[in-house]
Amino acid sequence: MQEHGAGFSIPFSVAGLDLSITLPVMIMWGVSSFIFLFLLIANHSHSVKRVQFFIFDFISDAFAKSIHTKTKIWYSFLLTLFLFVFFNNLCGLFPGGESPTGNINVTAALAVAVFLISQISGFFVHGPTHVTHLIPSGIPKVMLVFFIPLELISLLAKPFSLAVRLFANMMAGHKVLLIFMGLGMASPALIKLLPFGGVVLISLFEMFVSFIQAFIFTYLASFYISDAVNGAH
Amino acid sequence: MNSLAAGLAIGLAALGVSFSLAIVYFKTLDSISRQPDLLGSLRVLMFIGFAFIEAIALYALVISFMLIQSAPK
Repeated sequence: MQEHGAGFSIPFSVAGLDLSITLPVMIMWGVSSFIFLFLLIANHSHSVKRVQFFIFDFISDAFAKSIHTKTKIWYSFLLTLFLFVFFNNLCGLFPGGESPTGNINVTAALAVAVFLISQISGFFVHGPTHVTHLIPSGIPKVMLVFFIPLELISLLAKPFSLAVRLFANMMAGHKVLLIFMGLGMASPALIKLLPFGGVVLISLFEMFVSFIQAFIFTYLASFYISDAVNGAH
Repeated sequence: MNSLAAGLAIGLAALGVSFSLAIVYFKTLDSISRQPDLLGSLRVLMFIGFAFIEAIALYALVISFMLIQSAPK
């Protein structure tokens, strides 16, 4: 739980772009390879397979079914998204760890990916007529001057709110943990255990929040995709 | 001045969010007591609503952190 940018970093840059390999980057690589190995092992071990089936059923029930058409294509994307966000959220609770999703750059990249995928698949399904989803139906033609910019703003606000929601949740949880730890350091020896209990409780709550936020992120991603593919208007 | 603004930002957001969380919880308990069969699906919906509402307070928290960091030293 270090401030981002501080601590371990391998400086690396391409054409003036700062691509240093910092702790969150390493954690993301670790999480990705962990998920890959987990799903690979699950194909060969019966006990792990049970966990895998549980996760698969959960994802397909909760998210993939809300996109009614071509469920199987979206299923793998949503599964990857959920597992990646969930394990990245959890990494912030390890001592010395830092959750990459507590960094606005990571969540913004994820949100932009979701936005691009939903819009591109919308164009893929509807063709150029996908643009007409910006025009609300049943409204006098004069009002369209106001409504089309509004629809555009609401379209662009979706990935923004998606990114900031996850980032703020992760960051706020870690700040609260840090504040409780600071209280533990500062308080006299007799009552040092009280803030420690607070740290334990907040950590448990953070595990719950990690799951809920990963769930919400994937739920909203599936909602936006189904919005673009099925056409809400 | 910035500390005051930061405190007001998170405080007012917490005020509104606590009311809305209370409404969500109240209504969910109400519906569960009317139809106990729906407990499972209502619980999921309640937590989704919680996360959405909580996010508003967290936006305010981000704003207040920004205000504190931009305070003149």
